[in-house]
This record gives sequence, C-alpha cells and structure tokens, in this order.
Amino acid sequence: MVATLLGLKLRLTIGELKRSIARLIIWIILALNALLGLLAILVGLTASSLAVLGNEAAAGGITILVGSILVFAWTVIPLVFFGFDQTMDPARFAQFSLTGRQLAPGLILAGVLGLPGLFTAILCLGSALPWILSPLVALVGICGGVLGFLMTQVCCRIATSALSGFLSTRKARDMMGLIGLVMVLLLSMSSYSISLVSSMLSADTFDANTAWTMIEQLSSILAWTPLGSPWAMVADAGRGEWLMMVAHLGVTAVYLGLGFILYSAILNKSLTTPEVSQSSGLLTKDSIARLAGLQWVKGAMLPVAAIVARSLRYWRRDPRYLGQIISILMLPILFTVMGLGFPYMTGSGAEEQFIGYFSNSMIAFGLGFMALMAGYTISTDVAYDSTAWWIHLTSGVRGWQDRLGRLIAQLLVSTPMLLIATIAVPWIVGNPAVVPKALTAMVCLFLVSLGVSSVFSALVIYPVALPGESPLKMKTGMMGSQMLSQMGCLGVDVVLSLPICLWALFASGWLVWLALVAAFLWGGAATVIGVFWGGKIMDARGPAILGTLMKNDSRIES
Amino acid sequence: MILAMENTNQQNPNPTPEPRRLALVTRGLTKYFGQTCAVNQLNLDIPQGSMFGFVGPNGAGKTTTLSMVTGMLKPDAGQIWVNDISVWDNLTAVKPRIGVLPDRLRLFDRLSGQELLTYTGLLRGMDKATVAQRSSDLLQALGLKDDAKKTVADYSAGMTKKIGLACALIHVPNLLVLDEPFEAIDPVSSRAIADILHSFVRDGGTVILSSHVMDTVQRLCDHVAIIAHGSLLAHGTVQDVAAGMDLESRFIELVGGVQEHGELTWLRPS
Repeated sequence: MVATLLGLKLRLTIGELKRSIARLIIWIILALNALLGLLAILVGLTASSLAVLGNEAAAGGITILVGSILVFAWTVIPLVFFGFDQTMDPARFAQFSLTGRQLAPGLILAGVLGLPGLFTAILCLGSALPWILSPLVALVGICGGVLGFLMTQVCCRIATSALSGFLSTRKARDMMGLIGLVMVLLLSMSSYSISLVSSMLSADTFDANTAWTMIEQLSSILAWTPLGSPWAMVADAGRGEWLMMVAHLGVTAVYLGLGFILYSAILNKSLTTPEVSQSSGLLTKDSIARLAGLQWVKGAMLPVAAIVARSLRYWRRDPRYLGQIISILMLPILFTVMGLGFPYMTGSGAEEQFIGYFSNSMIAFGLGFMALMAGYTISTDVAYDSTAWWIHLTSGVRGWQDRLGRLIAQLLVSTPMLLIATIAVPWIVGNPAVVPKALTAMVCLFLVSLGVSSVFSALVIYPVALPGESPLKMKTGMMGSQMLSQMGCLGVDVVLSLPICLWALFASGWLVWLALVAAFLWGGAATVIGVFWGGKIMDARGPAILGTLMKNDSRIES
Repeated sequence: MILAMENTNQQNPNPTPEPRRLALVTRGLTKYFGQTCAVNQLNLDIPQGSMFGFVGPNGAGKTTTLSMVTGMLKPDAGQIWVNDISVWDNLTAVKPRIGVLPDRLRLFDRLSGQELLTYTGLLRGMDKATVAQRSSDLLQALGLKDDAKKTVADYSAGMTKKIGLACALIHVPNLLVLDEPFEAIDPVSSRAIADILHSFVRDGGTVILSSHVMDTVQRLCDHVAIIAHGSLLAHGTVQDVAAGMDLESRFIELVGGVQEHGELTWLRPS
C-alpha cells in the first residue's frame, strides 16, 4: 500500500509538471532558488555554530529552535494556504475499502515526493552538517533529521485532516486566505523590522550572552515537545549526554506513534463520513435593488448603479478584493516605517541633510505608490469576474457603463483610505504643512491611474485567482502578463501625472490650492476619457475578452 | 423547404395558417479553434414559436454554435439572423431579444439568487419595480423562493441552473438559447421548467435547447437538429428526423453507432 501511494503521488507530481513547459521552467527556477536558499541556511547554520560561536552546544540550541519552527510551519502553513496540496486528499480514497491504518503510512510518506516535502527532507538531513567533524554525532543527527522530517509530515497531516471539515466551508476558506495574505505581508516587512530593531539595539547595550541564555532555555523546553524532540537528539549527542539522547529518542518515538494512531483514527472517520458542504448565513437585504432604486438613478445609469452595487458587494465579501485593500493599506505603512527608520539604519558620518531628504522622499513615494495602486486595482476587476462576465456581454451593457460602474465603486472604496493616509502620514512624520501638496499629488495620481486602468483592463486580461480561490493563489502566466500590464499602466500614469505633481511640489502659497483644483480637473478628464475610450475598446473586444476569461478558467477544459 | 417542414409538423398546436417567420437563420456558419474545425458550414432554419432541440455527442460543436448565436463568440465565416436582424452587424439591437443560459460559465456567485436576478434585470435596462415584480414571480415559479436570499455560491448544481434560467427569462426575450438546461435538474424542477418553456413557446417565443439526452428532446421539442464533428447531419421536425424510429436509435445510426465490442465474459456477478 505504501509503494502504491508513493507511486501515485510521484505520477501525480510528474503529470502536473508535464502539463505545461512554462510550468516546468518555473518549477525548475523555483527549485533552484529554494535549493540555493537551503544551502545558504545550512551553510549559515554550520558556519555560525562552528566558526563564530565555536561551541557545539550553541549549535544544538539553534538546531532545536530552527527544527521546531520547521515543524510548526508544517502544521500551520498548510491550513492557511488551503489547497496547498490536495492531490492526496483522503476523501478521494473513500470509495475503496481501506482502513485508516493502511492508508496512513503511505499518505504521510507521500509528502516527500512534493516540492516542499523534498526540500524539507534535505533541510532535515542537513541539520547534521554542523557536526560533520564527529561522525558518530553526525550519524545521530541524520537519524534525528529523518525522525524530524516524519514529525513535520505527521503534524501536517493531522492538522489538515482534522480541520478539513472546518476548512470546507467557504467562509472559513475565505478567512484563512486573508490571514495568509496578512502573514505574507507582515513577513515581507519583518526582515526589515528585525534589522531595524537589531540596529537600534546594537546602538545601545546589547548583551549577546543574555540572548544565548534565552535560546538555551527555550530550546531545552522545546526539546521535550513534539516540535523539538527529534532535533534534541543531536544536541545531546554533541554534548556527549548519551543517556539524554536515548530519552529524547524515546519521547520522539512516543510522539510519532501517538501521532500515527491519531492520524489513522482521523482517516478512519473521514473515510466513513463524507464531507457535507455547509452553507453560510443568509443575506438579508437586496442591496443592488436598493442602490438602483435611488430616485435620481434613471435610464442608462440604472445598469451603472447595478454594477456599482455589485462591485461594492464584492469589495466587502470577496477575499480577493479584501486582499487588495489590505495591500493598498500596507504601502504607506511600510514606506513610512522605512522612512522613519532610515536615519537609524545609516551609521554616523553620513550627511544629515541627505538622510532627511532620502527618508522624506521614501515616505512620499509610499503615499504616491498607494494612490497609483488604488487606481490600478480596477485592472483586475474583469479578470476577477471570470466567466461570470458573460452576463455583461449578453445583456447588452455598454462598455462605458461597465467601466464607469467599476470606477465609481473603486472611488467609493479607496477615497476614505487615501484621504486618511494623505492627512495622517504627514502628521505622523511631523510635517502637517505638506498636506495640501500631498493631497494634490494624491488626487492627480489616483484619478489618472483610474482612467488609465479603465483603458488597459479592456485590453489586457491576465490570469488571476478565480472566484472562491485564495487571494494568494498564483497562476501560471500571471507574473509575465500582470507585470507587463502593471508596468505599462504605472508608466503611463506617472508620465501623465508628472506635470501636476511637479507643480504641487514647487508651488507655494495660494498656487498650491490652484494646483489642487488643476489636479481635480486633469484627473477628472483622465477618468472621463478612460471610461469612454476603455468602453469603446470593450464594446469591440467583448467576445475576445470572454474568450480569454474562459481560457483562464480552470473549470473549462476545452 | 420550410413550408414542407411546417406541413408535417403535428406536435405544435399553433394554428397560424400562413408560413411562420423564422426566429433564427444561419448560413455557412463556421468556427475554427486553431486547426480544428469546431463548426463547419452550418445552415439552420428555426421557425418562430418552435421548441428546437440541438443534439449531438460531446464536442460536436453545440456550445460553439450557441455562443455564436448569442453574440459571445465571433464566427470565422457565415451569417446569423435573429428575427431577420443580422446578429454580428447589430449586436446592440439583437441582444435584448435573446435570453441566454450558458453551460459551464460562472455566475456572480457572491450575490444571493434574488440579487443576481435583480442585477441581470437592471443590466438589461429594466426599471427597479418591474425587476422586483418579475424576479419574485420567477423565483416562485422555479421553486427558489426559500433560497432567494442564499448566496449562489452555496446553491446546488440544479439550483444554479434554475437561477440561470430565471436570469435568461427576466427581460422577456423572443428567443431563448439554453445550453444543457436539464443537466443536474431533478424531475420535479424539470417538469416545472418544461411547463414554463411550453407556455413561452405557446405565446410565440422560440426556444433552442441543447442536450445529449434524446428522451428529453423527443418529449419536449417539435424541431430538432443533429450535429456531429461540427457538421449538420439532420434538421427538421422531430418526426421527420426520427424517420419512424425513436430519436435515440436514429441519433446513434446517424452519428456512427455503437461499434462491435468484445464480450465481457467475466462480467457475471454471482
């Protein structure tokens, strides 16, 4: 049974890779990247424990810590990135008369034949590297690595299958996708924050010994938990505490055994009780009818009002849209933190004026980028509709109505965020006098970006996460065409906005306010032209757009 | 040819004595996907007030043809007229006359059923009061009243089909183009839908529905076209096409029939 399942998984992986050459190339690039990253981690670990620290006890502490993080990551990440690996979903074996105990070993081991599993396995075995000079300890390290790898897989399997019922509801999946997105954004910031914090600390008194005691204490606790026990063996062996090593081996074996029994039991349950998809709560009001029922909405504006109402519903309910809001909000936060932290990062000696100038422009860039991206988000709108867009196409909605409805919805969603950021950031930085100038630039950039995106998105439809998928889901071919469209859009935006932005930058007195008026007029003109020009393109390209949407929808095979 | 077809048409109770107008005409309709010819020189004549079944094996070109008729896919060659209006020359004039139920395409599924229906009606340019009235009637008629406020994403396959049908009907089209309308539909809903379609046809509307279930087509339709590999094999009233056989046998005969298989000698349950 183990061999059958492993063979199945191998064939699935190969089949997945064979499906397209582009995917294979991406896979290879990813693999090389990951391999290099792993190598760096391993070499870094070895070097830091051997050369810098010079004692193997420290290496043991680090190994336990890193190993524990690895096990923890395997337990948590697959939950957040649902659909992370469903090729071996136990529910698919429900039709065969198999018991959980028969399936469990194969399903656990099958993890090694996927990309993440493979690299984890390499990393686990590599954990023996710091002890390469004493073969016996290294051997223990390899055994510990194997057990550690098994632990990652067992924990992953238990977590995903225990929560699979919960994760099968659409609401839960939406939520998990969003949590994942926030995690990724925080992670992308974290390296910077860490270096910032550490450089701030290093300026003052930072006691290396305290840190080491902390690691020692933490790892000695982790060593008795399922997270750390497999990795503790090599640490014990390195210190020559062989009795302790046997104890940790015993604990690990018990944990793995219990895990195996638990997983088998969960499997048995999921094999006999088919998942029932639960429906989420009922919606109460027909908000589309309400918005379109406004007195002043008449004639050709009725479809526009309907599209506005529908878009607003999606901005509120679809995690893909919520993800965009989060990404837009992160931009000024990220750049303001970076800008404020910049003076701390540079050592003494750098010219103070230059540093101040640089940190201010970084903050300004964050704001401008936010305005541009807020406008750019409507480029994804039709792609997010996916093939549901046929309703627009067949109902005879004109292109300008489609464009205008989406634009108004985006205006309603983003304006408060942009306004708050434009006022709050200069205030936080301690330069509230700059608000009018910032406002001018923001108005111009946002409106121009909306107009340009209205044209571009009628021309370029790129693959995005489909309805119901995680906002984090990456699509083959997404990077290329999306980057192209994004670069094109933002390039045109910047060129078109530059005159007003420069005016705002160098103006003073009442001229600043005149620039603000000009920004409204200029940006307004850009949106009007964008709506009608983009609408014209959409009218002409309707069937082609639907064709692209169908090609990008995995539900349609032919 | 049309007149001859009318004379043999016994099923349709429409008493108009003069030859009926044609709801849909195609001439030389052709579509290629790369090298493969999906639809090849298709000539269809569909009389107004008929229930027209469009049948063929999987991948025969049914969906492709219907997509070209409804303005969703541009033909490579050929012409389509709906009520004597050339479709691809007057898309804005034709679209209000057609109601569409595509197969396999998504709906805006984060809306509730009622909202989706409202949305479709408003996109069609209808006023709010009419939309509200009709959508409530449609939800009642299709048995979706209790689920009207549930999100479409949580609908079953059959319910999704039904809400799609309601969306196709709300603006009162002349021509209904339904791709596999009875797929995943339970018998009760199926009867309800058939009743709605019959009364739609009785009042002068025209229905084109694709299916690969011959029984459904024979029971429901008065006209039928059989298509395979993008080419028309037969076209006319159901009696004419069936030629004395039941439609399924005739279909299998036309499409190529069942090949001789080796006997599964071991398939003997004890």
